[in-house]
Amino acid sequence: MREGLGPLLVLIGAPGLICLLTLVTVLFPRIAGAAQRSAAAMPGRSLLLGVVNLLFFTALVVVLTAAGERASSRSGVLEVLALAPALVLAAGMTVGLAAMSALIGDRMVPQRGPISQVVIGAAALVLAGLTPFLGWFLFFPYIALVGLGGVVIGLFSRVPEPPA
Amino acid sequence: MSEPGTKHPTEAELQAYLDGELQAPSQTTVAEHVLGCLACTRRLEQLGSLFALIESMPDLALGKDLSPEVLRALPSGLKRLPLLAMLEAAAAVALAALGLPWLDSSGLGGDLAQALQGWGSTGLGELNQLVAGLNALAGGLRQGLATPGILPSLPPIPASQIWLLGGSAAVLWAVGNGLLLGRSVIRRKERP
Repeated sequence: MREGLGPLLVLIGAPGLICLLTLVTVLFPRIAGAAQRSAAAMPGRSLLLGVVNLLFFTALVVVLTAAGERASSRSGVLEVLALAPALVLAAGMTVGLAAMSALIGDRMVPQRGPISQVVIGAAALVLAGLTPFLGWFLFFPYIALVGLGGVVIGLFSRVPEPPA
Repeated sequence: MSEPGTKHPTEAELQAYLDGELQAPSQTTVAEHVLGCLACTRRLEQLGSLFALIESMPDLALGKDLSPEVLRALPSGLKRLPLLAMLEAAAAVALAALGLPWLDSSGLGGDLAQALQGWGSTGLGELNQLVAGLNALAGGLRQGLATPGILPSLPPIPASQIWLLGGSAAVLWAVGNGLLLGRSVIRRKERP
C-alpha cells in the first residue's frame, strides 16, 4: 500500500510545488526579487548564510521540542512554540526556492516573460530534484540553501536593483 | 507693436509656445501677442536659436557608468529589518524559551490557568471559554504532534545538552550572520 504512494506524491506534489513557487514570486515580488539578485550576485555567501540559518532554526526546533518533552506538566506550550521557527524556516526556504526558480528561468529563457520564466525554472528545478541521489541529496538541498541565504541577504542588506 | 499695458507672456509660456505645448486658446493669444510685440519676437528668436544649438550638439558619452552608484544611493522600497532589532528579538525569544520550562515545571503555569479559570467563572464567561479553547487547541496539537509518523520523537536529552545545543546554535547564528552580512553593512557605511 505504502509502496505505491511515492509516484502518487510526485504526481500531485511536483505540479503543486511548481504552482506554489510561481505564486510566491507573484505575491511577494520584492523579497523574491531581492533574494534572486542576492543569490545571483553572491552565491557563495548565500550558501553559507543558508547553512548557518538552517542549523540555527533546526537547533531551535530541537531545543524547544526537547525542553517541552522534559517539562513536568507537559502542557504542550513548548511544542507549539517549536512550530514557530519551523514555519519561519519553511517560509524562508519557499521564498528562496521561488527566487531560485526565477533565476534559473531567467538564465534558461531570457526572452520570455517573468511568469513564464518562473514556471519553467520551477519545473526544471523540481524535475532535477527528482533525480535519484544527485537531485535528492546534492542539487535540491544546494539550491534550497542558496535560496534561503539569498532571502536573508535580501532582508538584511541592500542589493541594488538592475537598471530598467 | 503690442498695445501699451498688454501683459507679456512669461519665459515659461514662450518656451511652451515654441514647443507647441500650450493649450489652443493660450497658443493663439501668445501668437497674436508675438506678432505685435518686437521684444517678445526677439526673445522668441533667441530661444529658438538656443534650442537649435542645444539640439545640434553631439551626445557626450560618460567615461564611467554612474547608474549602479545612483541606484545604490536611492532609498530602497523594500523595508529592511535592522540587524540589531532582529538580534534583540532573538534574545527575547531565547529568554522566553529559558523561562518557559521553569514556568512549566514549577507548577506556576497550572496555578495561573486555574486562577484564570476562576476569574472566568466569576462572570467573564467568554474569557473562560477562550482559555478552555486554547487549552483544547494545545492538547490537540500535542496529540497531533505525538502521532507516530508525523514527527520523529526525540530521545530523552539531558537539560545541560539542550542548553548547550541552543547556546551553540545562537552563537553560530549571531557570529555567522554578523560576519557574512557585516561586509555589506560596512560597505554601506564607507560610501560617501
